[in-house]
Amino acid sequence: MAIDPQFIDVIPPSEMRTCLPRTDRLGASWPIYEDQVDTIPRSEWPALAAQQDRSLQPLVRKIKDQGQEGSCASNACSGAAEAITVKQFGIEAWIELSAMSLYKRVASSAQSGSTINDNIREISTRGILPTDTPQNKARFAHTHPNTGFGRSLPTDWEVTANRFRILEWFDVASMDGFVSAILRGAPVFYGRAGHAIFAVSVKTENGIWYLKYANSWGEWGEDGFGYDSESFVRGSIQSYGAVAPRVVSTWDDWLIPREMAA
Amino acid sequence: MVITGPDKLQRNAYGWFSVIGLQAADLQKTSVYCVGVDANGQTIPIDTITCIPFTGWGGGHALFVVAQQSGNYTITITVNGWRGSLDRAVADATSAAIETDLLGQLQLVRDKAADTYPYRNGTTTLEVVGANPPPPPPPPPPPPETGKRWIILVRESQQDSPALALQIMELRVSTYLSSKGHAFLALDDDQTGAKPWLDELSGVSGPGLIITERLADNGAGPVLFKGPMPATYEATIAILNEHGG
Repeated sequence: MAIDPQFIDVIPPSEMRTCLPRTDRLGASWPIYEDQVDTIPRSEWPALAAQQDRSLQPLVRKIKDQGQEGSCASNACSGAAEAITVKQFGIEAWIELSAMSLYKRVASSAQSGSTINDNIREISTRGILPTDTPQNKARFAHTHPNTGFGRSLPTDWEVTANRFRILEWFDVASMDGFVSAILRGAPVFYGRAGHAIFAVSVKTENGIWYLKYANSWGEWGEDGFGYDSESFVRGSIQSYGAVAPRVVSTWDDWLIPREMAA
Repeated sequence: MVITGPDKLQRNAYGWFSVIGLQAADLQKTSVYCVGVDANGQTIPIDTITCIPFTGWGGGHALFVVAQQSGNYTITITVNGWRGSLDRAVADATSAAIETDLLGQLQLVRDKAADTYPYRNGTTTLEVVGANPPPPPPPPPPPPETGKRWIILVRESQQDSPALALQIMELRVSTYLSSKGHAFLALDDDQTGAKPWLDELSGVSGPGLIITERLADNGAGPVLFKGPMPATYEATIAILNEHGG
């Protein structure tokens, strides 16, 4: 099915351009994907991208909605973390995560915005809280809504947040690395045009390569998803940052069973 | 009675033994016991040796012996007359605590029995040599019971190939797995909780696959399979099918 042009290379309104340019040099803080993993030659992209089952889209259980706040980078980061959780442990292990519980620690106001790097640094060290759904409230001591910058984090929130962390990830430096990471099964969250999202698949149409991403604008686009062309993204990868997470924490013991004696 | 014959026989070769002291009339009342023992002193099954006493054309008495399994055998020929048989029956009934009425009847018959054939026997030993046939192959293991399974992949996720990434997604969204109640884990090798499964895959290089029972409490039962992760989803499902999943 052809991509709807209105959802390609969408430039957000100025008030929603809240993904801030990175403040550190590429590779200064974390390993660069292209240095650690062989990128896949472009000649192999078409055949791999044509395998529909390869898409990471089924790992996205819910499209996030950042409302009118500047938490796009936190939503992209937490959305990617949720996707990796489902990939590792299964749909039953999915926990909706509160982007706001992350954003409050990397931003100065509801509209200040945040960087990709600050989000990955914070979610990897102190973690993130589950959203305050009735199910999560019943399961966890600390939860937080997905929006509402003015609301304080609960006392001792770190205890629960520490269970939900991204443990391993790479900085992605190029479009070749970006596509390779996705084709090797890692979602990539990134910023471009002042907005952050996370990519789940690649697609080619009329000779142009596109990234399909999950947005955080609720009911928008193609069931919450949009597309970025390679030319739209290429220049932004290094200025905003792109991160490919691979491993998230085992947030509860029951996720991995222990063998019983024979 | 005296039994004479070869000290040694080849396995599956027959041998003749003469029996001195055995009379033609005794053959109606004769029993032959052949007992074999192996190198460890364990009794060899009786169906591995055949002993048949009979009277030859010249009136002499002989024993035909052939053994299917090498080992040391003790051959005993026994003349056990009517009275002797009843003595044994009474002894057996007494030790087995047979009810008094039956035991009493046995004793009554035994006491009235005239017996001109008192118990007599003769014994010799025989070594049967030759390589024994290989033991029969063990029966194939019973097919595993079908049920819910854990399918656990352990690998360094940094090394995921495009083919493995595809298979992980196919397993993750597999309607076959979900319809059977199976559960799939894609673990990184240094992830908390992954170490016991990584240890289970000791010696397996690259991505490894473990299949276990999935218990009612969501725990893992005994390991049913462990080995390299197959290259395709179909191959993994085939292994799962072979192990009851």
